[in-house]
Amino acid sequence: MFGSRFDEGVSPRVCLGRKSGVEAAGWSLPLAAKLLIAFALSGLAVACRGWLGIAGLLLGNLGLLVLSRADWAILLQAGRLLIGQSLILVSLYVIRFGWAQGIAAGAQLSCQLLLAFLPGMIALQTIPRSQLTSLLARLLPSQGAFVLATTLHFFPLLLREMKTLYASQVLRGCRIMPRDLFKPWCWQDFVQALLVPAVVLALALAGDIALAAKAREFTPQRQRTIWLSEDRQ
Amino acid sequence: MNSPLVELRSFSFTYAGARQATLRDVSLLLHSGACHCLTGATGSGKSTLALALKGLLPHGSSSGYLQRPAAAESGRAGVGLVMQNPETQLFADSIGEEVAFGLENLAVPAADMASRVLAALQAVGLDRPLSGPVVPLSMGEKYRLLLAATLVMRPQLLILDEPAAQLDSAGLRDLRQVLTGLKQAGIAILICEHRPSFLFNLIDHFWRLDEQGRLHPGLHTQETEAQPFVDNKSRLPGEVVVINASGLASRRGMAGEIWKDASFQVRRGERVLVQGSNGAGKSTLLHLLAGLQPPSRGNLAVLGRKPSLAGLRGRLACLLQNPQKQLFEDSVAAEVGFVLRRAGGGRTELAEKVSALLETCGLQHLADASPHKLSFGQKHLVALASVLASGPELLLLDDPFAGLDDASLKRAWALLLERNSHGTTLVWTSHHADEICPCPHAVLRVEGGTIVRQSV
Repeated sequence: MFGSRFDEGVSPRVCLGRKSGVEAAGWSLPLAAKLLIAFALSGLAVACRGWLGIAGLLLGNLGLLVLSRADWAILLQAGRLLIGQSLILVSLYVIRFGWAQGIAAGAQLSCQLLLAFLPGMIALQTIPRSQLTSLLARLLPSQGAFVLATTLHFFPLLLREMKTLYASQVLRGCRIMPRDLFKPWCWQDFVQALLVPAVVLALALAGDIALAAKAREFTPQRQRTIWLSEDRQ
Repeated sequence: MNSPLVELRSFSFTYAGARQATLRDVSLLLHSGACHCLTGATGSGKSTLALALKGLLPHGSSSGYLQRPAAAESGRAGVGLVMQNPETQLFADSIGEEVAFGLENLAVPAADMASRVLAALQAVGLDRPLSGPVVPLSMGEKYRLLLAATLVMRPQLLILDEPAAQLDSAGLRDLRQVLTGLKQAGIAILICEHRPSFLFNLIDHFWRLDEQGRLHPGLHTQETEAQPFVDNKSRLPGEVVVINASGLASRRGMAGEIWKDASFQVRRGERVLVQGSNGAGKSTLLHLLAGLQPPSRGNLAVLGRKPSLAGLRGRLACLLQNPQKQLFEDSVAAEVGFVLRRAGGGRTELAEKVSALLETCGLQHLADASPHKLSFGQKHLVALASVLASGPELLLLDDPFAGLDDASLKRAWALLLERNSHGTTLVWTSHHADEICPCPHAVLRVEGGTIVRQSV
């Protein structure tokens, strides 16, 4: 198996036609429809007024989740995000408008924000980067499409790195757990030990990714061709 | 002799804003079909030289003569470079798409891609479908994927930066076979590696970059590599059990259980090596022990309780891969003293504790230096000192010293041994059997879908 010449021709039929587990699992919403629905749901979340609209959008997102065959764990992530941002937003609204008006208005805004991002999260999780790149390449120059697709996929990588950083800083003794953040004197740790290294990490990660792309001959000046995934070959 | 593929004459390079040159008067000739190995301490400029040969040097000033294979033309790249960390070099979701990325950039017609992609995958022994996902691959498999993604561009010169840091023994054996084939095919190879013993029969020329960035020719033998530690601070482990696992199982994503039915104990003061091949689930075990993820089945108690971040804070410390990314203070003293400040105490007492810790770590001369401006090896030591400051009962190390040169590695292990002699339990992962590490009391072997404890 090893030591064979890398430039010898091998029949493409050896592996073509085999699908990954996800692809083989069954029908999924077509790519363009998925993106259109995600854009529409995000737009409606911004325009939405009232809890009835929010409930409708939530159902819409669940529908997108089912039709896209996305991992339901995304709801857990979204739930955590909702709790975190609601705490901040509701606190600020209560300070500004008082208890009576602040709680409902803050919670509603928090839900709207989440529902504006959730369709994008679902779409990104279920669209392979090659398909996203080839779709974007119809609208943008191919180099721009690659950069945009890579940028969109950069955030999950950054989140994974931040999760590891968070855990190692907590174990080291930093006061950055959710319960610590109720104490304003712990916010300094949050900024110093998590936010600042996270920014440094993001910049370093972006630099490494750019360098790796150049190492594989990506240049903004040259025209690219696009790999056709097996189902389209 | 045929004309050289690469020629450097008195080549120097200084990074923008740096006071000293990273490369000084470097002269080097590389011919087709020759295999060169570049050694040198961490931070000596090996990666910078690799970037220079690829034409990817960042802003800075250079002088001297540099001739390298022509840039990309007619569907092939002049120089192929595989850097250290596979995670940041992967762009695609599927294996076929990843390997084809370079071909896309070389504007190879889509119809010609599949055969080249399959040939490259076959050359590195990655027998997976083109539509297979990249994410579940182990680190070693990802490295092979990157190698295929580079070979698919048919480079004239292949540069590998620290391959041993990512590959297990089997992976290194396979890599040697791949490189032998490439060498016979007339491809020039440059390997930047601290410990190139696995490639001795393949390498034609050894080079060493010194700390001033000067290149010296030299013969590298296994004897010149640092030898494993002699355990002269032996301390018998106590009887108190700090880790108790029974019937433990863990799964990774949707891939099912990676190991199961693991039952073992670790006692206070023990040094335990977690060993297994790439992707066997060593890091997953450490994540479970640190409370970063729950087991899918079984019972686990760490320091007498179910592991969780909140419950283990201050008692357990964890040093993960690339630990320098957790540094954030302005000075080494502040970084190391961070945890001690959080624990309270007088200013004088704190200063004394920090000073003592820095002395133990051999970092006292860097107390006021910014940790961000230190060398790669020094950053590792600062990160290690900062997690040891809290005096953890249990220290987990997830292959944190990958890519570290022998001298830095020895300093780090000397520090760990010193802490272990005071009762800190050490559990560390490694995919190399011959690592320079202190003799473990026991090995947790992760293989065959389970974990077996073996006393040494």
